[in-house]
Amino acid sequence: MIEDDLRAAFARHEALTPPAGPLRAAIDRTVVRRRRRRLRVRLAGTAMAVVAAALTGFTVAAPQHREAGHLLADPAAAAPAPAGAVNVLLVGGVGNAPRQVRRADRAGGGGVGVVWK
Amino acid sequence: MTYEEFADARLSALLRYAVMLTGDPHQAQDLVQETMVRVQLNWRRVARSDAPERYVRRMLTNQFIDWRRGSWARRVLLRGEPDEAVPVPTDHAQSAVDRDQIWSWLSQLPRRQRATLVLRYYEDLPDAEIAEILGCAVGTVRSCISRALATLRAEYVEVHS
Repeated sequence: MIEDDLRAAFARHEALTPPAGPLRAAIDRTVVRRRRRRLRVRLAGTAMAVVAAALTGFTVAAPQHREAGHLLADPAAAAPAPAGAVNVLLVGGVGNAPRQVRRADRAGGGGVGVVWK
Repeated sequence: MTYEEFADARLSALLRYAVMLTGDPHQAQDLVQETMVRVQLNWRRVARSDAPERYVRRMLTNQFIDWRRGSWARRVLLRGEPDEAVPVPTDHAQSAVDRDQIWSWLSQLPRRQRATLVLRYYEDLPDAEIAEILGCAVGTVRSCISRALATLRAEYVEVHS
């Protein structure tokens, strides 16, 4: 019985169905909008990928400028040995430094710079 | 078959089906529009299926069942839910209200149960096809229909006793 009532209710409410024409037009409009949005997102993604690739390529392939320092201990340095007096600048801590620092200094942790003149 | 041919042939039937599912012509239009937009954007996949109409009906049914399950950002409630204690009449005439009681009871059923009833008693589909559309077992479909009918019968008995 309830099944028959259900069928009858469905049949009665078929009249509620709106016309399909305006809906079809609305569907087509929405599809056009979404296709445009998809295209914009795709173009933005492609542009970002191109920029990222260009930046990465530049970082890897760009020439790196390194100035070779003239060090006393550098065996590869081809500079001729100085003939005159040599000024040596020592950089390091003095006696007031804490004990641990002095130890570190003794163990070779302090810096010693040598400058040719 | 092209999308245009499919839409020309089946849009009205899908719209009627959506009205039975939602019980409201405006919600039915929204439901069909959202589904058909996705159909048109993915038409190649739809056309590759064995039965495009069944595929689209399945999309529409799942869209109806998952209507509110999406992201919070997509939920738009422009009007409050109807009070469940007060059935909303679809006609002002008392006779029409009495006649449409079953329609308002249908609106109180869970969406999956309502979809099952529509597929069985409006579309006259066999259990196996309903199970395929809903993506569940045939036994689940039968128990779903049984529970829905039991709920409707209980309402019926309560009103007429």
